[in-house]
Amino acid sequence: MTSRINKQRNEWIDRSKPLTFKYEGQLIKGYEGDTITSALWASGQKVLGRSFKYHRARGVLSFANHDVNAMMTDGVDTNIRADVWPVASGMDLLAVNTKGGVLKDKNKFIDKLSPFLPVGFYYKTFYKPKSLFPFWEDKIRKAAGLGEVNFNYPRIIKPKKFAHCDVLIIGAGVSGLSAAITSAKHGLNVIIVDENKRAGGSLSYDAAGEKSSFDLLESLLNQVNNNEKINLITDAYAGGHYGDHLVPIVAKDGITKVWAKSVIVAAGVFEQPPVFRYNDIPGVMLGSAAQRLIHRYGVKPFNKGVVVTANDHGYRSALDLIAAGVEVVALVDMRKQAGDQALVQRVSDKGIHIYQANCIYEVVPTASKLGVKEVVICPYDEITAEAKSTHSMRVQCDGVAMSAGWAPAAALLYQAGTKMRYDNGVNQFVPEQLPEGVFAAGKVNGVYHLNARLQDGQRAAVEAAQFLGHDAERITVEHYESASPSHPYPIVSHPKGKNFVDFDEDIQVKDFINAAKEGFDNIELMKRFTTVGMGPSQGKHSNMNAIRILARIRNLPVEKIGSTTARPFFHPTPIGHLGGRGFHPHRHTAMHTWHVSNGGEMIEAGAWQRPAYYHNAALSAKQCVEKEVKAVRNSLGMIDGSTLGKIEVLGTDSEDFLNRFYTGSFSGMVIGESRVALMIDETGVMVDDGLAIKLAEDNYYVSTNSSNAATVYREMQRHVQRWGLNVTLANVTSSVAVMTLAGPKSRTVLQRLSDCDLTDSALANGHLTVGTVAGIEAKVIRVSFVSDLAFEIHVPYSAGLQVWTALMAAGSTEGITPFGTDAQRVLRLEMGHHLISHDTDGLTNPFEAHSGALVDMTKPYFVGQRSLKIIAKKPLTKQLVSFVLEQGFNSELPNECNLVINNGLITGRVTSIVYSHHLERVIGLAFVAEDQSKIGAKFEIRKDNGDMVTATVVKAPFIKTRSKGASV
Amino acid sequence: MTNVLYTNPVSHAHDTSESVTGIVNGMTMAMRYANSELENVRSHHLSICDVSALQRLGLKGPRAQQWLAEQDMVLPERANSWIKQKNGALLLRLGNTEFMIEDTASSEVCNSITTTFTAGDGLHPLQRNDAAFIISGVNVDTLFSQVCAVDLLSGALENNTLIMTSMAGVSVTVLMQTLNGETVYRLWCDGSYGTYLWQTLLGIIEEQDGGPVGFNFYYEIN
Repeated sequence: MTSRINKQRNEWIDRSKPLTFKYEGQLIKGYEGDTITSALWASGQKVLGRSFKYHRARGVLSFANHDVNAMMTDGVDTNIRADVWPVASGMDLLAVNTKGGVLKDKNKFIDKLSPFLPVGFYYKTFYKPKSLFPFWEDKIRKAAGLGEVNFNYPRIIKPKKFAHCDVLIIGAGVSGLSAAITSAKHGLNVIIVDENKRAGGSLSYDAAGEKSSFDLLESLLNQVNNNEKINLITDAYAGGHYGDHLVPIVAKDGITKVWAKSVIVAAGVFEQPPVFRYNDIPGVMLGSAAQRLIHRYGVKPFNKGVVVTANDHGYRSALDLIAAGVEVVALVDMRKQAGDQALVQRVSDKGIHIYQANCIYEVVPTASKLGVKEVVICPYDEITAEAKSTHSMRVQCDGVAMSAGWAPAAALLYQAGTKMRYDNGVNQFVPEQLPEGVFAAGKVNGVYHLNARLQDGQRAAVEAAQFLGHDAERITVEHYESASPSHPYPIVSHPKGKNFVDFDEDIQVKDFINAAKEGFDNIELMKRFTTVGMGPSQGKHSNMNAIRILARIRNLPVEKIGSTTARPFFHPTPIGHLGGRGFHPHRHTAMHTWHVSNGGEMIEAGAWQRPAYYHNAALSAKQCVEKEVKAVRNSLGMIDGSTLGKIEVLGTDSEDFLNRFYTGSFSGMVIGESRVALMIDETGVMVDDGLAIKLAEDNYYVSTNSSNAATVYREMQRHVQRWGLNVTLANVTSSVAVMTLAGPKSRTVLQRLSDCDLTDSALANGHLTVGTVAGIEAKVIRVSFVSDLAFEIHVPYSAGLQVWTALMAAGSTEGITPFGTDAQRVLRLEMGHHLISHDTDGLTNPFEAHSGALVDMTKPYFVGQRSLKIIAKKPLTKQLVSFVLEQGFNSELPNECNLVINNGLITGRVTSIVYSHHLERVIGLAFVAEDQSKIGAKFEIRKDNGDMVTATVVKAPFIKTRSKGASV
Repeated sequence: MTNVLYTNPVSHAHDTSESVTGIVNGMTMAMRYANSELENVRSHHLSICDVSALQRLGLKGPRAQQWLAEQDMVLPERANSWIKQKNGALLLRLGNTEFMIEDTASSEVCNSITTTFTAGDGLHPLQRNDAAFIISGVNVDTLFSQVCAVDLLSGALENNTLIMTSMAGVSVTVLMQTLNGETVYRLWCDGSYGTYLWQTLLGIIEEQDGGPVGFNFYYEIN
């Protein structure tokens, strides 16, 4: 049986391209251009899905891109919206959320339990005993829900794009199209977007049995398509409105982020259902849904139908149904008086009986509850919203077209910051105050008459042009008298309920009443308690009725109730679209290729890629790290330190600048000398440390932590401008390659390739000399971060690899070993060095981290000094200390961040901990209470498993150095 | 100075490509990716070329403008603009007191003015490590629209304007110039991001049926 009717003038299907697909195992025929829904409906399939909560059979409701009860799974893809998605040959579709198929869903018994499952049931029932919650959660999740997520879904890259325009028009109905044409006439570049496959809005389906709307649409589209300044995008929706008029346009192949200079929202309205018992049975649909089926897809919605309406639109639907060959057996008008008498006459002339001031009291389903058997019509008092059920009549039919009014598609207006008001003339929220650069036109603006909508689009375009600085003559929109397009309260009470307000979540009128009785009588609270508007359609067909019901419960006008927040995205949007291509910038040092070629296990260190260690086929990762550490301690290792931040401070005020910017003193330095540069913020918190080396009277070379270079450089620039100093800054982090040669043999090997004098007397620890290394001009700095004897070699990036390979060759007889960040972590800890941001946190001041010596409080000023003066007057509450565990400790090590416990109280935490093979001891750093910080003091660390481990405070460094005694 | 083979900031990407390599200014470069006919098609459709090996010099400081003028350089009058010198070299004004000179394959501006250079007192040379690319083709909008939030193609780069913006998450400097009679877009970024940006841009270009062209497509090296 097919419901396909003769070719329609404006239909969207291509009848020359038939196709077949499967639905719930049955072979279905359709045409290219069909949506899944239209093809199924045409082939007689009326059960398109099961409802979210009660598993009730559902068919077409709005057919306006938010029929969330008709969702499908096709192979790996799920939650396919059947009313939008084009059908394709070979599809193998199953309705989501069923057990045993859509027709025989085994979970349909839940519908019978519905009296015992009021809103709030889950909240009140399953919260105790707590131990059983996982059990119930599992059951509830399986019973209710959408499609199952397929974790093997392939990664399909959906690129994000940027686009730009003078005016972005959202909605290509009559108002949007006329706005586009007028905008282009004023020289504006226009992007106009519509979520439907073709432009036209209601012009493409709301014909009332005539052809004039199609003629107008053809004329408008001709003008738009022949105008180079207009870019019409269909089959894509505006997902939201963000600051500076950034609007993401979501298409099937990805998101385009449009930066618009102005935005015209001509998004139209959503048709709202009247509420009566069993208004969800397959075959009961909105009037506009029936019109769409007819005109866009050539499908007869039903054979013998009743139209129920609370506005004039129902009459238009009736005329379209009649023209499509549907036997309309009755038109039930809930109002006492219809508006457009010409329309009434046309319907009446077709021989349709009109039941004024009546309602559908209930739909009587077929025995299977999968379709409509008949409707019960009763007199209706639209003021009290009461049906006189004692006076009823039954009319046999297989479908119902219902119209009651409209809700504005104003989500983007709300997001843009529009202040809305409730207009009692149209019974709709309309914009009262629009934000700068945002304009509204057409039905969303409360303008319904066709001519007025044309003019309203032109008016909005003129205002947008004026906003953008163009001369444009104002346009006045004529006012046309008409009945309200929306009914103020199209609700029919029924003692047995099942009069659905929200079809996403199966919410009935009584649920609102119960929620209000329990105190959830604010619209936002009611939304969360009942879940109205929280389903995938986000209340597009339910919010307005919910507001009306709450207003009546509270005996308040609708405007006092307000509306809920409309958040992006406008429709359910695939995560893959939001993720897009995914850009993950990463940086390479000059030696990157060498590391990769020589077994480097590359890890991300901020944006940099660095070797954690170098693989050795015979060794485990842990053994590789141990080997690298051992090489540095006993002979020679080399690490790529190019990621170190490097900033040149140039100019006659450089010394003054450093004294202000850092905590220490940089006065009286000799050329080649370095001092530790500790940076704190205005609150006294440690932010970064490095070395500041004097290269010339007006030239300092400053290093920062690897991840901090950009932050420190930005802060420096800010302060140079603030202080007005003669200082020029240059961030040379990536222009300079750095390698550190460390270990007892480092001097011997480096000297082979360098003309620098590297002896102790010529190059003391912390000093810099300039010369060549492997024939390349280099800065050589004596350092002691990972080893008592080590040299940092700074060369131009482009020569970094050359110098690195030369050093590797030169050190081969000494067994030079490249080492990575894992070994560096052990080595620096053995040397007793803390790392800012690793061993300190966002509250640590220098006095708590044994860095008081790096602070010169006698200076007239430095950043953060004022805070340190205050802090210095207060007793310390914590101290960063070096500690060891007992000799021979052989249990599992505590972890970083394990807590220090004293008498049941948390007094600190471990910040770093490793086992040192060199020392044969577990060593680490930890924050402890002040009274636990003395050398020799013991404290307790609680491990992840709850065991307590005793640690002893020792003096750093842990290993013997030339200048300092060892603690272990 | 020993005989040095300098590292191209994009070298890690080039290592895996099937290009004909050569040496430019001591740096290994991809000289050719395909025959001239195919590279010509690519350049007209959508292409990318690595020109990181061109000589560059950065100058910064309050005396930089005056000093450059004394070297007979034609200066851009405003920040964020550029000008082509008689010998083809580009002078980019990156800020009020910051400049970058980029030679062509045959000009010698960077080397020659360095010999007359005395640093200090408001004039400071900067070490540069730029990855530098040429983007060309009629479909350049399909590339830029995916990687850059700024509308670079509606006149923003006209009148010798240069724009500092972000592409694929990396800070870049962009300008539009005519090279060998063809409108091309020049890109510079921090060299440490060179491999990433090359691979990202090339990936999108190849999705759009474009491809890489070698250094020789724009600069014939004898």
